[in-house]
Amino acid sequence: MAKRCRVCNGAAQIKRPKTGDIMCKECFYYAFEEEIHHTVLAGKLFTAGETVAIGASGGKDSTVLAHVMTVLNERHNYGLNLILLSVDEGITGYRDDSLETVKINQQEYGLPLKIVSYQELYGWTMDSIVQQIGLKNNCTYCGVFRRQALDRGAMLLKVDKIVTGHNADDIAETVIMNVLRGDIARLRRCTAVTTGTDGALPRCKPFKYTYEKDIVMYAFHKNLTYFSTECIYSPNAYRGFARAYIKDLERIQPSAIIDIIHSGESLCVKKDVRMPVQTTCSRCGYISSNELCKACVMLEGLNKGRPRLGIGKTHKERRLFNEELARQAAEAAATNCNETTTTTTTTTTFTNSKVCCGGKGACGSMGGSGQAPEMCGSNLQSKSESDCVGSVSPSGGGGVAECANSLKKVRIGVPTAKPNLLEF
Amino acid sequence: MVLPYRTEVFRFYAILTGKLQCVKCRRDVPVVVTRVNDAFCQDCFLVYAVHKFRSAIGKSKVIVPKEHVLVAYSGGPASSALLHFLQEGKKEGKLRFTVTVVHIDELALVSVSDKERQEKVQEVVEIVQQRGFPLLLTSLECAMDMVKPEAGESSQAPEMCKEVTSEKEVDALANPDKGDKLKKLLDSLPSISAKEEFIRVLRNQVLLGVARERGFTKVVVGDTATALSVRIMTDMAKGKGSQVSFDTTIGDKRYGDVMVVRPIRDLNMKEVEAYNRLQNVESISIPHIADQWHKSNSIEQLTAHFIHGLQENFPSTVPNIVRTSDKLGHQDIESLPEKCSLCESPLDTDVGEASALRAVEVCERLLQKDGASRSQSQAAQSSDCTQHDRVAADNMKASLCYGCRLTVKGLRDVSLLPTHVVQKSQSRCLSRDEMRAQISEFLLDDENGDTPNS
Repeated sequence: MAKRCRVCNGAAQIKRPKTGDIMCKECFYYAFEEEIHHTVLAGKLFTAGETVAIGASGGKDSTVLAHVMTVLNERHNYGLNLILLSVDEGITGYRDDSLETVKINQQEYGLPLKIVSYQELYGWTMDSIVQQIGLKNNCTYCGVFRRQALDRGAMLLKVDKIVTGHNADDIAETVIMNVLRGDIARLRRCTAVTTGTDGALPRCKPFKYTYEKDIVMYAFHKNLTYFSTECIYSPNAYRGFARAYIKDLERIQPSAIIDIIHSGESLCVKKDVRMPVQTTCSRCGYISSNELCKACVMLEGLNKGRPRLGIGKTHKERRLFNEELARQAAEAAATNCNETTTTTTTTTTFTNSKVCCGGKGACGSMGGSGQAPEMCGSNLQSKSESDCVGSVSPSGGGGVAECANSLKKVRIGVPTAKPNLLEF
Repeated sequence: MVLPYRTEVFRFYAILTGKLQCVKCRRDVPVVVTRVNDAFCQDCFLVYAVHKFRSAIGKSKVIVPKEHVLVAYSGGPASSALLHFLQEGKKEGKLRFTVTVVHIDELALVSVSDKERQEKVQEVVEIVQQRGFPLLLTSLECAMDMVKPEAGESSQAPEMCKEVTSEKEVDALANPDKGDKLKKLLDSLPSISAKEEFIRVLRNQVLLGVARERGFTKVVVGDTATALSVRIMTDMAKGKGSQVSFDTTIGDKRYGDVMVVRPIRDLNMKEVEAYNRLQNVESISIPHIADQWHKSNSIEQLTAHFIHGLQENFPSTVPNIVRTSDKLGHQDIESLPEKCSLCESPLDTDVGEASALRAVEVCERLLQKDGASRSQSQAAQSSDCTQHDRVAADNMKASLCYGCRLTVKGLRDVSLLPTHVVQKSQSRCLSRDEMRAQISEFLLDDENGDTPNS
């Protein structure tokens, strides 16, 4: 017996992932689009006459976003001017393909397109960043840079708002990740449907209650073209754990994703908890909660050959860096010769003379909020020295400094880098 | 001296060769390694564990001297350690309050014979008597028809629990009627996650019921840090985010008349197990219906598996999660109008338009876009449940918090729920939202719904 659509009683083709309802395609499209329309209305996302930039990456979320925004703009007379804004992170093989998809979108919906790239904004591409920092904390770089890139591109285009395709799964993952990492400030902000209302350009998420599987279902049946692989640098991201958990949860109870968002919305922070205060960066004038915005800190780190400057405890890294500089200056003055590249107790911090524990996590350093030891990369033997993650300083005080203990004995290329027990 | 490796083999070697010392006294050979790298010798570890317990109670001042507290004992390792801490405190004369132990018998849900049930309960009685505390016995099904006695009225409801003073007095608390009622309700709940959540909430209700009947104002439970971190994540996954701060704080004041205290929340499971091993504390393994549930169908098991897996690779996971929940609070209790009729936590359903709850309602409403088809589907449903049932279900739903709504979703006949829950849902006061909905066409408001006077 053929299944009947729950709404119109016609022939059904779909079981909706979000609710498990049996529906026909038309009713599904209608329900999908109208739920987003309700999110727009309830969150009061737009006012008529605004220029809105759609953050377009070429993936399924942004393709469907471009489509749905065009449809709803017409159907419900939002009165918006829509523009496509795309960011080129410089990841070969991944980003250039997805940018082609964005160009197709531009033609399909007739929307103007602007592409901003990391190369022109910062002078670094993700490929070169990953070469410096390895595969562990690269997502932090990409995320921070991309957010600024989107805002800068939007300011160039003089738009009033940015919309992004963050869906319910993304928000649920963010909530879980922030609970796991103890990031109370982000935990409070991440469930808001519009963020950044004070100061910078507001960013809205019309897909906040839309399931990822629904989006795929919609794109599939409407034959929307999108680029669908994972970023090649993402497999070690911490977010992957939260994502796996959410996927398992969804299998047991599909409503769990919305339930997590509801939980996130119901959280209430104690009044005496210290929250970051919003100011502007003293160097670039961008919005920041510290004196220097994260992007400036990271850029300085990259340019000076200390890529960990933006990761973990910035003030410690900076202190170590300053001490190192002072010592270099003293040595240069005293001995009047060039810096050596191999010493037994210290290594220089400029460019490529970094030594590491051979990838076995020997430095035992605890990053930021107490994460696992540094895994510099699993098969470091095959890479060059400059690929190593951390730089070294002999002074104590946690962070990367603990490397100094085992580093005396270990070089890159040694397959098993066990410390010499007798020499404790 | 800092160790570069955390492998067990390396630690063992280090202990053997004397490279690793107790971090406290730096003298004796360590026998326990807790947290990441903290090695303790036996004496120092015991001092550490006891100190954690006592300072948790002392610093927070949740229990005042000469108070009578109720201590929940399940037979598991954490509550056995809790009893041992209390016993040691009493021996040393440092225990400033009096303790009565309560044990909830949940064997009605498992198919064991009456004789086996009696034996298990007997074991509990023996252990508690060894510790030297008076014992109250009750069972999970007692919560099915609990009635809160009105002030001044003599309660006609059956007693929640029985005192046990000697071993011979233990006859099975099994009340077959109530047990069947409970089993029927559990079978009607559609999903396993709903069942486990319901059992947990019911267990809480039993504790509160016993406390209220016997006049206790404090209930002490043995939640470790590990259990709390799993609890937090499960609450988030089940839509109970508003209860996270209550579920983890040392003094849980949401019920008003009874406070739940969690003195071992600073110790994680490994430390409790080490303590039990060093002090030869016995725990009883009692069969439970949750033993047959698996991480592929139970949210709590999945979450526990997830957290324990993360903890292996990132040892600071559990402390991070608990510390996050410490920073969470809640609105003023007095200003919160209503409590959920099932779990007695403040309701979290009075949310604005832009919220997940409204999004879910819109989703359901959109299914009935066509007026003609709605009456068709209603006609199909009417054979299943009457108008009366539907009204009762709507009333019940409105009186529950978001999380409990999920638990009860799919339950056809809400009258199967415990008596006190059904009563509360029928006699609750209407929330302002519902009043507004009833008279909305007569209110001359602006769009925001503000009344003209405000």
